[in-house]
Amino acid sequence: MDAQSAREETIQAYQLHAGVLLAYAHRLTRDDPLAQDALQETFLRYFLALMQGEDIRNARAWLHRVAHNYVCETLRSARVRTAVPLEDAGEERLRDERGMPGADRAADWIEAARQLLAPREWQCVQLRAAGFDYTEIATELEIRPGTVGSLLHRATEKLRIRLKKKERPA
Amino acid sequence: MNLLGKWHPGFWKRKLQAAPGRDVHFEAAPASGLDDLQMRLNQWSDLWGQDADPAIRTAAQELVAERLTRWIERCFGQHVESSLRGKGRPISLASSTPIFTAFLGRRATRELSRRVLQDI
Repeated sequence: MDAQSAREETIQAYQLHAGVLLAYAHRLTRDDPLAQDALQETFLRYFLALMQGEDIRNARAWLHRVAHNYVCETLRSARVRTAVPLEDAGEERLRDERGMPGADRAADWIEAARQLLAPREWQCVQLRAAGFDYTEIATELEIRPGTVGSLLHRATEKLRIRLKKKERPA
Repeated sequence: MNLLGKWHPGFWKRKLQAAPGRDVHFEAAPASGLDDLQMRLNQWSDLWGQDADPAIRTAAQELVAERLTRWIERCFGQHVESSLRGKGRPISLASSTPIFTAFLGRRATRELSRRVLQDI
């Protein structure tokens, strides 16, 4: 693909998908600047992929996958950089505990689910909630559609068991 | 709410929308981001081919050629670098992409191109 066509296609993809993608990145990061960075990086990579002659059949799934990978990589490296020294860890934990009970219930629920589910299951749940169908989730995560069904089923089972336990406290 | 019986995306949609930070809605593409993107794409498009006369190349083009040379040497050795250079023509992203893709794969080549064009 020549540079002119690749540029036009990237701009067109931006106009079509940037809003949804930014919301997705924001949901992953809960951080405006990082979400904006992820958006820019994703479309720059889209342009490079087109220039390399990559055949992108489902642009929406491709863009979501690249944005997701970018956010994960960035958060992972940021976590390594900001590792709390051992002597400060106690203070950090206390601050976390103070912050938690006041947090919004929906946020608590989501956090609990995120911790309960395996990363792949959580990704499937998030994408399903964003309106993706099984085939699109499969394309994005590079797995078979049947596996998406299994992962979502497993996630639902885990949540069902957790809810039952909550209903019947020991 | 019937979460127990069946997978229910509507439930998750409501939960995720109610989460903090969801008060910001991004329905339309952010315009400022589009301007930045367009600027970068124009710059990168100019740098991709680099078929300009070596005598009138810009500093950015020099930098791209230098970084590419370093990557080619690192991945394949000096021999390939000199054969790619051919008849005195500078190495460009366009000319080096096929060989990188063949040996490293598409994803790694994309990452490499991204690094070559970093901060430009």
